[in-house]
Amino acid sequence: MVSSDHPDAPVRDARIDDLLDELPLYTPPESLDDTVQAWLRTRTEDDTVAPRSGVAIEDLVDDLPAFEPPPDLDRATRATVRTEADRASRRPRLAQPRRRWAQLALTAAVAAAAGLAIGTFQPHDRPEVLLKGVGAVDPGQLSVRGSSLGPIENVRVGVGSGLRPSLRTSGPVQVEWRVPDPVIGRLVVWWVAPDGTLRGVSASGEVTGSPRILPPGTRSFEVDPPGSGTLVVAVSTGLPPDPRVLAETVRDGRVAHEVPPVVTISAFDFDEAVAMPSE
Amino acid sequence: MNRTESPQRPPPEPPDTGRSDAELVEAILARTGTGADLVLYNRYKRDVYTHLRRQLPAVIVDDTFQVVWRDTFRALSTFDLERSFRAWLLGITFHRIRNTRRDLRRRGAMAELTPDTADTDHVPVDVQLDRARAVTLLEDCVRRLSGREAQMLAMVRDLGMNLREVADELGMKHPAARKSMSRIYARLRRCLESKGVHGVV
Repeated sequence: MVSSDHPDAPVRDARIDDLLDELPLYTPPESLDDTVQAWLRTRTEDDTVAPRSGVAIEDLVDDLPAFEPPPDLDRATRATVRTEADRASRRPRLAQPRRRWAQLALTAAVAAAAGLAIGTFQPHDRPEVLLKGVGAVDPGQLSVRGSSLGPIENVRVGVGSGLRPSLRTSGPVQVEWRVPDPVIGRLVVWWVAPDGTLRGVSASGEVTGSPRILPPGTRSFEVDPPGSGTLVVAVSTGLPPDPRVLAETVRDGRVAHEVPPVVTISAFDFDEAVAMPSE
Repeated sequence: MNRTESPQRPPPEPPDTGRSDAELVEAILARTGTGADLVLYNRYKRDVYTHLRRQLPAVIVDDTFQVVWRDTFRALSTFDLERSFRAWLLGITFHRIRNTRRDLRRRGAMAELTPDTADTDHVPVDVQLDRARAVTLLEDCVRRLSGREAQMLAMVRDLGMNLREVADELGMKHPAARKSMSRIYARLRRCLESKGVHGVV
């Protein structure tokens, strides 16, 4: 450090500096700290061999096909869904991923409404997500939607499949996930209002902003959406990469859609699920 | 919030044995440093997290924090052992901050994701009498600095770098760095005044 009258001395303002000295310092929350430390413990020096390792969910979503309503919906419903998707895509300067999330949400919601089977189950020791209705919700005003899907826990969600499990809800939902060590990824939860408005769900379960991390072990948080809407849940391997998993999914630097998915989600427990109000 | 703790807690952190940053980096690169990466991480995690919290909307701080560390360890082989690891890490952090802010602006999401602050609250604040509130307001002012300005402020204040070092690090000419620093403090003063904070100037 040079003296304050030296030409190299930074221009300072002592009174501002005094206040700056008092700015709070922040410590990463424990779950985040655990996640990064777990990654450092399992990291290999060669983890850069997977060019798309640590890929953000938005990048994965970019690979998804464009939205198209399921073909066996009636014409009016298809038109409504298209209108919603168009509306989402016309929002000024909305990022592509957001638009596609809108499309995804609509896809999932429509698939649920139409009772479409959207996957088959292949048991892996993969991250699992369980959505449960919780809290004091009047069951008389609620009905479970999507139960016509049948054994929805058999849904397989793969990278680039264009599908994410969703739950229409008007009450609190508990999101529980189990991640086997050392596979670590990101849980992504969005809440979609009936008008297509997309909101992220924070780590504390607040419907506010961005998706959050998925630490290893079994954890849960509670989401209390503001009104009825659709919860969309996805998991990406995110950071840190597990080369053993990425080896299955990354080929020649690109996500290979045809290989088995990174993530299997055994999604809904319909016995406990809380859904949207009866219409 | 209903959070169930992980049934298996991670093993305890390796002790910080006082090795220099360069020694730790060398150990990591030579693959001889058991836990050296954890020591480096634990040494600077608070630094990184603090700067991210001060510069980015809270909801994306945690994700960005992970990305910074991923980038850091991936780029470790490019680290010049003669340089300060902390300054290098700070450079990666602010590079990521600038990219993230630019991305948010492009999406038109910066304002949407920025938490409400007290900037609309113009109740006069006497620094001497209400220091805590003045500090809170100043934190908001720091958040409004550009990524480059915040980085310069951190280099001078946190790393104790002089203007020539700052200029070299950022590829600026010395007079430009001097001017920028004056501008940063002036911006902070003006920002505080606009929030009704008196007694700073």
